Amino acid sequence: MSRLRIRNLCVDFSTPDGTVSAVRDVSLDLEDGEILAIVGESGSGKSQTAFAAMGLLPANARCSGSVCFDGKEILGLDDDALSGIRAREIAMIFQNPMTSLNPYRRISDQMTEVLEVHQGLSKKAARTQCIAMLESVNISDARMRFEQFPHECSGGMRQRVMIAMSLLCRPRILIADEPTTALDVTIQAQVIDLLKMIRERYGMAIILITHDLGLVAGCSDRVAVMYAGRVMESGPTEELFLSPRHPYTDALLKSLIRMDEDTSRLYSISGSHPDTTDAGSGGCPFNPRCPVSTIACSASLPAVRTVGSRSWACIR
Amino acid sequence: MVAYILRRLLVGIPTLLALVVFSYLIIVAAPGSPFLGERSLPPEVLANMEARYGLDQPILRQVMNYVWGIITEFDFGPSFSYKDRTVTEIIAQGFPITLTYGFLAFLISVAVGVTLGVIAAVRQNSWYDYLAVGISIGAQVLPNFVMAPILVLVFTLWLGWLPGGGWQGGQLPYLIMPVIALSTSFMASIARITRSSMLEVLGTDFILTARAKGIGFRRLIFRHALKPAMLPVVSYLGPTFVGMITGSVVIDMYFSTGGIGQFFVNAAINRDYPLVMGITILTGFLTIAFNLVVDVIYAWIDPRIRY
Repeated sequence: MSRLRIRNLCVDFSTPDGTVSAVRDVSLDLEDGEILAIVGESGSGKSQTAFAAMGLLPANARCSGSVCFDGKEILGLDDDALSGIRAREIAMIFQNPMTSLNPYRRISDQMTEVLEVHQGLSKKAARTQCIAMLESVNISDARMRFEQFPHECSGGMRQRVMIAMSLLCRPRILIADEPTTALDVTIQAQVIDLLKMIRERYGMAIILITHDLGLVAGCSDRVAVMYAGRVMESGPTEELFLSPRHPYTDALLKSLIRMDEDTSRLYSISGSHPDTTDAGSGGCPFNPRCPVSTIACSASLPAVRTVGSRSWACIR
Repeated sequence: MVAYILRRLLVGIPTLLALVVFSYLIIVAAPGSPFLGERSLPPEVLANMEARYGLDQPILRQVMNYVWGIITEFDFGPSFSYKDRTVTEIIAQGFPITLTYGFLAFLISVAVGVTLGVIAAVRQNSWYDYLAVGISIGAQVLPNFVMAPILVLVFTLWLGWLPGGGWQGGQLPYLIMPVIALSTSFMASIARITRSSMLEVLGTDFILTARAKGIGFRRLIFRHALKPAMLPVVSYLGPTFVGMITGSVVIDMYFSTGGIGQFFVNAAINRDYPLVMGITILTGFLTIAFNLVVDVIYAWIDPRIRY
């Protein structure tokens, strides 16, 4: 039994312009100690999938399907019920470290409260653990940083604080929602190394949400490629990069800038990401932009085919 | 911080001085004179009286004499319309009254307004939210000059529970209606500012982080959201507080409380220059002081603000 099991997850938002189907029929599994990368363009539903699993969707969202942690259904639980899961079992870090920490409170207060709430520790007892955790994510002068306000730290430092804070209760799963997007390249590499290190040290599973395929190649074990709210293809990272089965994955990989090839013109996928307000015409969502589409592609939604550890949703 | 406060207080002195000079010039420039009554006085008597109060001097000399009197002797001059009483005496008598009901009204409007606003924001689009917003709009369209007669009509004339006016040293029955009448519209404004600023804070990234930490609802609101949500409220409260404790003309007139709001209007009508000036200076001083207090509270709430 996988640690986290998502089945047929759908997330819809009711907006003044109609219903937006952000996530459609997504199924994923996550094992202990595994890094699963969810990649996709903006609006492909990768973040909303994670937000749904954590119960962090805004009030106008409706979700259906199933999200099981250790075999227990957690989708649709209220905040009180989820407080036993959040931070304790599944922790989350976010895209923008500059705004993710509360600017009005000291780092010490924000960190110790996690242990105070979840483990009933006193502030004093929590303090030692928090400083140790800051040190373990390679924050120098941890004692000094601990007493500071977020605005006194750099972006990379704040993301480290976020990571340290998320690890305090030793959760089984860490969801990292584009953790490096807002950071510059050298800091990105450090944060990714840090994620790999904590996976080794704590045996945690990590869901890495990103649009950076380079990042995925460097650290994930498995990849799920999302498009228009659906998983188009998933499989072990290396196999998927070497022999993509879905034309969308193929096109994405072709769009990468390769350092070892002399390219004069960059490849791009024609067209743009579909509007998720319409429920879909019934065909493959990638059909209008697909270089190899046939008449059959617009007829019905391609069924997911699974061969060994790989699966993809294409009729070819 | 201490240096900043001292600097601000020093800057307050020329500000007050400018206020004194301009107010004096304006009130003197207004048509009419303190001694023009229904009975016209013989010119000799009028000249005598003007000489007695220094009004025969050039206007800049009058201003200088006035300011000099304040600086050297803290003397705000005699009242023209209340014979044998000085401005200081009148303010010393009236200001405690206004301060009492104004401060109580302030406390109530803050407590009720903030509570209503927070709950409305937290339960956005629920029946509670609509009720709270409805109450605030209702209270806002009932300003004190409408509230006061309604209260008197209901509680004095119909029910006979409360006295319709007077002060009696600020006993509770005499306090209730002035406090309610003064506080409702402020309470409504505070509730609406709190609601919108709370909604904004609840949509921020750091609130999402706090929710992802599973720290529970109360902690989320009280430890994470409330303080930043109070920033716009605090900046509204500075001038509002001064407005409330320096009294409302309507409240003083309607309930005959004897506060300085009433004196202020009478003084303006009677061209009682010293009394108008005295109350103007008091209000100006309090405004400067509480703007400073607001800035200090800002720095306390938001650690990124350093002076």
